[in-house]
Amino acid sequence: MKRYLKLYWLFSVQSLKVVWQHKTGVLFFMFGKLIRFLMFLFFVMILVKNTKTLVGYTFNETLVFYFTFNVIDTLTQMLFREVYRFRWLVTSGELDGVLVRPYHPFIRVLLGGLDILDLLMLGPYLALLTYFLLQIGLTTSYNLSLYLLLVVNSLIIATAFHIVVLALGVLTTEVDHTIMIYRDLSKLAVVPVDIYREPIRSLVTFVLPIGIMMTYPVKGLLNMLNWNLIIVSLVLGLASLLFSLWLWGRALKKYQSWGS
Amino acid sequence: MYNGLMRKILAIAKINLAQYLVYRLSFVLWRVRVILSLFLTFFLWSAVYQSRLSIFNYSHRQIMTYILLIYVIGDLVYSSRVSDLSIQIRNGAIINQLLKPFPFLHNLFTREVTDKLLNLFFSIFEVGLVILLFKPALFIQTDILTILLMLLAIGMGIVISFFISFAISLVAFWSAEVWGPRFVFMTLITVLSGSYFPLDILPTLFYRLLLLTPFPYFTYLPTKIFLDGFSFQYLGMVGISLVWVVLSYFFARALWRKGIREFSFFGR
Amino acid sequence: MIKVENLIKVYKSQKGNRSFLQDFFKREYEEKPALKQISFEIGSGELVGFIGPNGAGKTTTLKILAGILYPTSGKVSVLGHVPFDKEKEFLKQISFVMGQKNQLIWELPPRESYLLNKEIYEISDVAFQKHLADLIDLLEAKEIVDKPVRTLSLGQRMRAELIAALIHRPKVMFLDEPTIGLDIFAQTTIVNFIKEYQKQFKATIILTSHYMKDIASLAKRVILIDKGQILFDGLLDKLIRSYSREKTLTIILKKSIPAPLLEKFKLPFEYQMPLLKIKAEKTQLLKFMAQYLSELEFSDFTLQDEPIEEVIKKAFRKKP
Repeated sequence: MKRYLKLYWLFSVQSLKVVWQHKTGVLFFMFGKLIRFLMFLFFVMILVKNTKTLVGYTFNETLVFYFTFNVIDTLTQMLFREVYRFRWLVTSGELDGVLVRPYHPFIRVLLGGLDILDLLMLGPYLALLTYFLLQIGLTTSYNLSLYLLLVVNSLIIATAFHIVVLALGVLTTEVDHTIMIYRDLSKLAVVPVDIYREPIRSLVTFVLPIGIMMTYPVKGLLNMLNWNLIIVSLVLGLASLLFSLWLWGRALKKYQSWGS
Repeated sequence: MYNGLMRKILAIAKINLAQYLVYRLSFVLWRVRVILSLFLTFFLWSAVYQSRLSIFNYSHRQIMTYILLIYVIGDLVYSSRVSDLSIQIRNGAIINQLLKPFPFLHNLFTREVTDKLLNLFFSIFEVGLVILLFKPALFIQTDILTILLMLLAIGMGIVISFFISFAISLVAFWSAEVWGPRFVFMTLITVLSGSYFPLDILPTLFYRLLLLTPFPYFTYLPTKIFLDGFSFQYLGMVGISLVWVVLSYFFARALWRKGIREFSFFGR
Repeated sequence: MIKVENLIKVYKSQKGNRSFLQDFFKREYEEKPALKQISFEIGSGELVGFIGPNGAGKTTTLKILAGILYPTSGKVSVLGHVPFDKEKEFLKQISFVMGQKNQLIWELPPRESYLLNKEIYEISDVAFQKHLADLIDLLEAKEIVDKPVRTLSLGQRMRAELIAALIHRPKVMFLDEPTIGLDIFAQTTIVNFIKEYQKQFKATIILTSHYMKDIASLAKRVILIDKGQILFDGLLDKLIRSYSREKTLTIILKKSIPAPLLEKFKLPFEYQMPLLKIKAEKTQLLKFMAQYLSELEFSDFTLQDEPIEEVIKKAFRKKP
């Protein structure tokens, strides 16, 4: 375990050094992300300010949804940025070089590319999240624990998603679109998924568990979930992780190794 | 003479289509991505109108029409293969293109048209599906003059978008950092071109400033023309569109010339 | 050390376009057997060359031995491990080097990558310093290790890559086309390095290469693979001797050969002043020389073996 932590540290430092070599590109991305965040925030604010409630949620509550989404989204992008580079690794044949090393490939292809930009953006998001959480007021330690539990569950589901993307990348070399679809899907939950009508709502909550990932933690916080739903969410989280690991094992057996 | 040209164009179109079908999974996934963004805006606005009848002077009917229309127009204006140019410049493949006995720009243009028509076809289909499933109240414009002005505005939007996108691809002549500028450009388009909300709900100062940039003239203007009908104010705005067409053309051309002259292939 | 029994590997690949529309809706797959029941054993410290045309199965075999690909059926054992299980102890003892592929980070000096490998392979500080010094010495890479990889030439990069690949002093090395794309000087450096390394550290090395002279100068034992089957497994000398009995005699003439004399030659020959070339079996050539050499006015002559590429080509053509 200690060895993996050390390796993770080394990979992250290396990632940082590489990013430092592409300073101008990084600046552009930073700028773009900032604009995207501000504009969307502005949009959500202006909407809710004018309508007093959004599907029953107050302005503060809606913003807690918004920032929970951003925190989870940024955390997963920060941790799993390396997945976005996976396609190149597969098609160039460099993946072979990774598979031959005495460590679990995930430390490299899943976690090996810590994104420093996202790490930086995480700070403000967390601060704003805390602010609006406090604005809501009724946060007991029970609610908060439930909230955190469900956020951890969301991260587990996100991990499972990314592992599935890796497995599909090995099987089909199709990575870029799968990862972006995941991103677009999760963006559906930037506001509470209650805005969607059935059957989309159930689809988005249970089948592609974006709703569980992004909306349930806050719903848990607001005491809107019964225990059945919570259990279902946790089971789904665990099941998705197990499925993704199984899929990855299958993918390696079918691996044909391109690029040589 | 035209026969030869037509045959060449058809050959390029056919190859483009063939490429799509080979990367069919890629294409289908792309459409899925695009339709997801439509879902977000469509349902978000529907939810907003659950509690109000009119917001920012837009009725439910108008907003729904706006969202769906700007989606289709957006697909037509923005779908493009011009971003491939960056990669071709970086890996030197562009040299082959320039050496072919077929004008480079004709090739580019044909690929653009094929790409846009294909995406337009699908976006109309998708909007049709949404209308069928969720039956939003819509507003249909029937005035011919309005439709003509809208089409003109769309045409301008396509051209401006093409030249600016083209110019951004040319960054590849000077730097390896091609994704940074394109990312910023795409983000700006996403938020500032009206695909999430009508631009005139912004505070007046912002709105006026925005009108000085090319962003409203891609897809916002044609959609508004459709909704509000022909007016001299909109005719004036189409005139500004024309100014942007000219500006973007000269900018792209200047960059292209500079790039071709100064181009160096580092050891390729 | 390495034991392969009845190894079979079958690839599933897509059948080409029939018509675009048909292809859109239903893709057909076909099975391509890459390895058809191959078996061999390699002992500790051996240096074996795998020879075969593209698509023969050499790289597939290597990748299965390294644990990258999953065998369709058969038994594979390397250092007592099943490679595909990718056990840490197994992976720490092997190295897989692919020509022209880099594991070094493009923007950073090689040394950074070496330090990373040190952690990955759990090399002690003392061992790391010693291994690094030995390798830098053998490859004359002192100036290379601290400059960013993108500033190095291809030959320099290959040397830096080799250090990265060997810093953990693996017991088994898989080299897949290590000299491909390199200029002649770089090729020689790499080949000499492998020879020296083998001599000093007695690693087991499996090498594939399209350059026959590399194989010839490095490997005593070769395995010929074609279309997924082993055609020959044994000493290179023996292979040459069984397929090549011919030599080429080249005579540099001072005076042209009179026609009646030319007609007496029974062996096939090439004659264009000032060269006379005859390719034939050794004893036949000796007879020729005994008979006619005195009648020719020449300034020099050479007797050459058949080039090894020709021998290998023959070996491949002879079998189905």
